[in-house]
Amino acid sequence: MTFQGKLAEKKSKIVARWIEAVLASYSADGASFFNRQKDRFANPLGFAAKTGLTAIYDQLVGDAPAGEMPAELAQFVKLRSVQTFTPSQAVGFVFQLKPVLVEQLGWETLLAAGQEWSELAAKIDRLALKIFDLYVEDRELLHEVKLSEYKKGNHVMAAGRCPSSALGGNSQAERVELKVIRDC
Amino acid sequence: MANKKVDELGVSVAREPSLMTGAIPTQDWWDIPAVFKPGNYCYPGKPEMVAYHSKSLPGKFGEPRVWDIESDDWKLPENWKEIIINGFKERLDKFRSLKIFMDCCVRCGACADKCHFFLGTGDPKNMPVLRAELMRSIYRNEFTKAGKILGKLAGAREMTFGVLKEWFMYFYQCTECRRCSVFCPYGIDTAEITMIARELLHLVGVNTNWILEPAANSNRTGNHMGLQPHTLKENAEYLCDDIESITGIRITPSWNRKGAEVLFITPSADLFADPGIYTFMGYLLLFEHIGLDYTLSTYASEGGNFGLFTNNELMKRLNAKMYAEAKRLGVKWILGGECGHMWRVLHQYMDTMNGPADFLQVPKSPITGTVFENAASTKMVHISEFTADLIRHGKLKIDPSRNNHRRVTFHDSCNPSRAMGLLEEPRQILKSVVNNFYEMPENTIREYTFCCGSGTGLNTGEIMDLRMRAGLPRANAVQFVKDKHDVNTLSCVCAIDRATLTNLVDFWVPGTQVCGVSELVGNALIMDGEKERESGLRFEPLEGMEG
Repeated sequence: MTFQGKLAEKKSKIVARWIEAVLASYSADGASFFNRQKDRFANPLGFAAKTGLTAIYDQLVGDAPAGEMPAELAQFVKLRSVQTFTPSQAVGFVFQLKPVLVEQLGWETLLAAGQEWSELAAKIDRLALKIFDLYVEDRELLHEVKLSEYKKGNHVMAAGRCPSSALGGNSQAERVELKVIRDC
Repeated sequence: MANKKVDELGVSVAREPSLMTGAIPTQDWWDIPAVFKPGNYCYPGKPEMVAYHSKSLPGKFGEPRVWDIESDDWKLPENWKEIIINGFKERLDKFRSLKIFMDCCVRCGACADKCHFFLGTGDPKNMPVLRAELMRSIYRNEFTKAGKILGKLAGAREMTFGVLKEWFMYFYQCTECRRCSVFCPYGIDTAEITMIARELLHLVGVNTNWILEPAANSNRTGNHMGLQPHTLKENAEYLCDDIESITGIRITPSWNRKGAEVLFITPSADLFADPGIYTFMGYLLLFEHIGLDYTLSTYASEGGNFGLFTNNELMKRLNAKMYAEAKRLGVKWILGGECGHMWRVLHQYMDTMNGPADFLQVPKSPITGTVFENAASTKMVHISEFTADLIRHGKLKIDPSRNNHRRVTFHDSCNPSRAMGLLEEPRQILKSVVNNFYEMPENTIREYTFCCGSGTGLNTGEIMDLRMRAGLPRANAVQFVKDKHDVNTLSCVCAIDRATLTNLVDFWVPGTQVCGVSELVGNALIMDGEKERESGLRFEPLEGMEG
């Protein structure tokens, strides 16, 4: 059987192990739930991880040039960008495919595949870089959202601007500010 | 060729402990410390805010001080444990519901995977059952025989500084949305457990400024921002200028007018914050359209009640001023705007705290004659109830095609849906005023609605990451209808939603706008003497007017 054939034949097992390894970055309770619940609305994280990783696996092992990033995978990366991971932890899940391949196919198969294995490994590395780009875009978007909220003046609600708060205040500046307001 | 290297490779770079909880799956939950890092906590209350609240409610807010949440010295009073335990006992005696909620959970797990914080983090302490267990373990230790004798075996543990930190972390990762309660076979209201936990934290001065300062402003000046009467009036005038530009109709709302039939109270955000201002314009157009005899108030200028997020006494005070103003102005009843938690306070606590409002009349629509029996005691009607009744009786002239540029879905705001059962009215309105309305999936709407992720005073900038992950389940459903039906508008009936969902969709579902239901009503209303409408209330061109 060709290397491609083996990757296709063992797809379900490889992807399941990859998903399991990725979800292990969450608590045991979290990982178990994310893996178990099938409803995409009751379990958006698990759905995004499973669907996204399955779709990208097909792209990685196929002959076709790299296609569009699956929307579910992009959503999963976006979520990891706002979870409590360091950047390397957030995007490092891509590399977990390599040990899974070793585990599922064995070193002999990989070594025998030679060039093909080397090309697949390079594809995985390129995917990791793409995911890193996505992660950075997501963080930049998050900061834009923060800035946008700030510009709308949301923060003023707790910025000590309520003039009457100066009533009874001890600071000279507060009293002067209050006087100015009264004089207006 | 099995070898060690495979195992080494198999150890994931992402398998390190979670930064937020330090979670390592092999540990018991109570051995995992809460770790505060920038981005996962709200800033503490300013000393002057604590002092201000302590003046009117002595002993309820702890000592005013500057303290650092990330440090291990929170400058707590020496007897802080005693204060917490005594406060706990006092509340167990006072609130029978709390006693029941502490005792009757059988840990069936029905609630475990229903919390948006759990779905966005996978952190087990965000399972409602475990969040409540943070308190129950102390309850068992202090107030049950089994807990006192058997200790850990009975699920009991001592109150320590570590537990206090856990409380502060996880009871501020609960938006009191009550989705979990819908699934609980015993009907345990986990939101009320969070409310009590926050009360206890306040007793020892563990607090957040984002809640204390708006509550202080509201108590003192009348609204969260501390906007003074002239500013409120001017803001409304600016919005009336816009209404005139768009419709050709000049509206002059009255303020603090004695003898008006109805007092209208809405979140102050509707007067100054985008996109709430467009909802406010919708209210004014509706009132003008039907010739309602109403007044606004500069004193009762806030529907929101951040007291709900601190303790029941402050909640009562802030709620009471709405009724004090209604009494002073001599109105017959109160009409409330599109607010979220105002309605929870109103429907679940007002009557016990400040009711019955027997100086007011049972609300009766002056246009349709409908008597709102559901508000017979509180005397306060929701704007969606009021509007849906007008539409049902054919009292509004409506052109839904003016909303054709919008493909709309509806987010059931947690409090109106789960705390007052407002499920049908907004939908009836939407079906009348827009031609393109699409529901999100069943398990994400009505009583199963997912929270915006930023309620209960968590709508502050320093925890934006947390808000975005908590809002994932909501955003995920919005994305679904956007993909399926090309939805571009997320409507809702809550001011916090209007502000925070805007951020949520900007992050998760870019290209989606958030609006109040009344904004869409305002767009659709055919006003007497109006000019041809070319744009909606936010000056966006109507369909066919894009050129």
